[in-house]
Amino acid sequence: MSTLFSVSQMFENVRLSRINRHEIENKTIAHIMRDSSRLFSILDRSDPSQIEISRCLWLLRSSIVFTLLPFDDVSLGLKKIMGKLILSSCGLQEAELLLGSLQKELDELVTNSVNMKREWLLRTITEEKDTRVGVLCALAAGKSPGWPSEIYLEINRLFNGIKLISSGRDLRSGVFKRIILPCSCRNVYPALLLEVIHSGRSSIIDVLLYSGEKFDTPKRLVLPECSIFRGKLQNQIRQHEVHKVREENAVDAWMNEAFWQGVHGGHRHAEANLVSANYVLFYNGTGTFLPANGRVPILPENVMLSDVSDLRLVSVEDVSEGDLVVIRAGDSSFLLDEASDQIMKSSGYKNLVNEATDWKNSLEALLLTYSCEAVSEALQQRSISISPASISQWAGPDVLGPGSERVFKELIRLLGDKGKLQMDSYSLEEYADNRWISLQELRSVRQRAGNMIRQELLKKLFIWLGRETSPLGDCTSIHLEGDSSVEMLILRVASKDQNPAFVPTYRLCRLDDLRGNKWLE
Amino acid sequence: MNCLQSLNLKSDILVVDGSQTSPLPQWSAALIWLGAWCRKHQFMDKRLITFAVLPTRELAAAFACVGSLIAGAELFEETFSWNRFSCLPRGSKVFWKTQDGRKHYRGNIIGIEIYGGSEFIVLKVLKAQRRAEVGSTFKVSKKYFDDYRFSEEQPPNTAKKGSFHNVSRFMSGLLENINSKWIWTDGSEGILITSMANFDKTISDVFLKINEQQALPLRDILCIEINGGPEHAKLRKTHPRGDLSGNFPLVILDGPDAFHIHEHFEKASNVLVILDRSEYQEGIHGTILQLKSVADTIISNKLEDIPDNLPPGIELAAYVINRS
Repeated sequence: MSTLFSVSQMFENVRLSRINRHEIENKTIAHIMRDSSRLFSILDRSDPSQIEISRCLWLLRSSIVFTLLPFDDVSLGLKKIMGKLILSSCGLQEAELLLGSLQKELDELVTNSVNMKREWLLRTITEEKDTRVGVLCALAAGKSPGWPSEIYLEINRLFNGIKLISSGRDLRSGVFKRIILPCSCRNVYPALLLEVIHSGRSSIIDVLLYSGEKFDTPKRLVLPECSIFRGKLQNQIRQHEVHKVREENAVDAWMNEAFWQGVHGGHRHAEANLVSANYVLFYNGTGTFLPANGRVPILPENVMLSDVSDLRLVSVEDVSEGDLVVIRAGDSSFLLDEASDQIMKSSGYKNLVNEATDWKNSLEALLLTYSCEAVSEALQQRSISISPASISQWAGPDVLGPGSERVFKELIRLLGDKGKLQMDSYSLEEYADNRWISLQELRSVRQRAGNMIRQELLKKLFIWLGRETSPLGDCTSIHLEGDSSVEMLILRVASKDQNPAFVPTYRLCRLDDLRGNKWLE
Repeated sequence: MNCLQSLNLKSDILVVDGSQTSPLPQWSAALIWLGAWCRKHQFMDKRLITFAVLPTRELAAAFACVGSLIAGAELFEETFSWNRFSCLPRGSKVFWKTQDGRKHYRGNIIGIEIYGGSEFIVLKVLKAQRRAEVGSTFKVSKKYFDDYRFSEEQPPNTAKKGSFHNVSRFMSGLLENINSKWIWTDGSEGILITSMANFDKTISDVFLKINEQQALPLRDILCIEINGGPEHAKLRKTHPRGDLSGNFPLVILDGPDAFHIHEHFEKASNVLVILDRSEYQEGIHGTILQLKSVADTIISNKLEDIPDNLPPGIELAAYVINRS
């Protein structure tokens, strides 16, 4: 299909676009939805053991409503999930009755085994022979419940014309006769759902819903009205539902937050010494925090580069699933030190590192007799709220020191009061002023060094990509020539936490190995 | 009045897709109109900033470029005059050839000299077909200026020349009384800021034709070259962080990368921003609301030649703002 044809098709799809909600009656599933919501409402989600019950409950319910497999399919493992739910609820008396009902309803569902969503799909595919149908399968941030690896194989085997859409890249691979959403999509990455609905990749969107599942058409941002074109544009008005948070959806809403807490555990509120960052999950089972106001290099999908500036620097806010992000692997401090030394030499700085950080020896000395908690409390009495973990980081080499002048100066005063900096109060103030200036200068040098290294690495990466002929997978590791210690990773984004978290700086760009994390099971 | 009617074209533009020839799809006609409209409306102390949000950006910028060329060809007035040429700074690199095209030269401007009361532009010849002429000086007076064709851009080579002739014929088929010198004259009708590799790939299989003329590849019709290069071109292109030097009546920002780098619109030209629906987000929306708040509504409401009904999927907003 030529580009011109597919673009024309997209404009035509936008003109004809419609969303079909297929509401499927199933009493057993309606009861499961009702009972799981009731059970969820009595759980205390600040209690870690009850978080696990909530997770199992969401997994059970989502496996049922997301799946296109028969309910008795072994790979779906509904009974196993129910077993885990019962086990984790052990001793929670108020849940017993509801768990009993759920167990009964699940047995009924598995015995009957017929999945009406699957039946609808089979019927539709038979009618739509020889056309391209898309099925959205990225239904949650981690692995989609109800979509074990077997289902992908089965769908590909049974239905030739089906394209499983797990990313924006899959969606953009062409245009579709129809796109099927197997559920209400409450846990789907919002940007992907918006693109599915509004990009014109298909004129028909079929949403398969059991009673109790509610689908709200996501609204996209539109250009403000402009007097020049008033009355000249043909606005495509879709029927929008009024968005209401319903009791039935509380479990899904909770899950969206609980999932990210289970994956990265970052604070949701700003605190001193924590920076705002968005967590990004990669297809290879790793993840990292990227600074919320930062930018990261992204490769074009076809990896065709005509110039080093084709390596787009995209703001973290705009990173989305399917993007190929370039990240430095391993410890970069060696290179950073080298580049910093170079800058300091050329700028005439002598001993800047010592001048900016010699107070660390005094802090270390203090920590021999006081715990980090005690230092934190002592600062608290001086109206400085700092976690004990931050104190420990300041003493170490990873963090240069407090980011706030007020906090830094109180710390120096405390070190003076505790006899770790032996000088009179006037000299102590002067010392604090000088050290703060040096610390800020060192920070600026490190920042320039970081930029220098990034530019160098991007140039080398560009040369490497120019030679590379094989397509990039979800994770590609590159050892850059001439600098064997430098490893760059090209990672495909699976999902991104839309809400910023607040984390210590050492967690930024540090790759977490999430294999084995139960939230990604 | 539909999109192409508002351009007053003599003939319909057809699209050749494989072996099939069909009328230009409505969306692409709308983008040709949009490119022409943005190129055409030039103000002394104001500029026009237009946003287009579409289901997809693929091919959109290319058709807007076609529109910009059409408007440029229509508005063309021969301006590469003695006055302009004599104002070029010393050392400027120039190209010239005789009217019959037999002799061509490359050289530098040395300066202006007066002989017998007449002004002469003095040039040093750096390249000529005859080796003996290299290094010599060449003097031309106002009287004989029109015997030569001077330009600041390198004239196209033989292969390119053929393609420029074809484009000239294509434009003549579309517009009444097009000045045949337009295609050969220095200066571009706009600059496109885009991801260049992707742009080139996307337009590679699109061909356009009018009447019984031979179909031309869209890439040839655009007469587009990288900005900063010496090649003669009617449009320039660059990547978002590329060279923006030069004066262009229209800057086309293709996609959010181009927009974010140039959102402060430092250049004084008209701007057309093209985005797809998923790219239109809060940050861009905020910028547009700011523009809207400072826009000149009186002039905005006087802008003409807008088709009665733009096709579905084309969403537009445009604001006239003061040059700053």
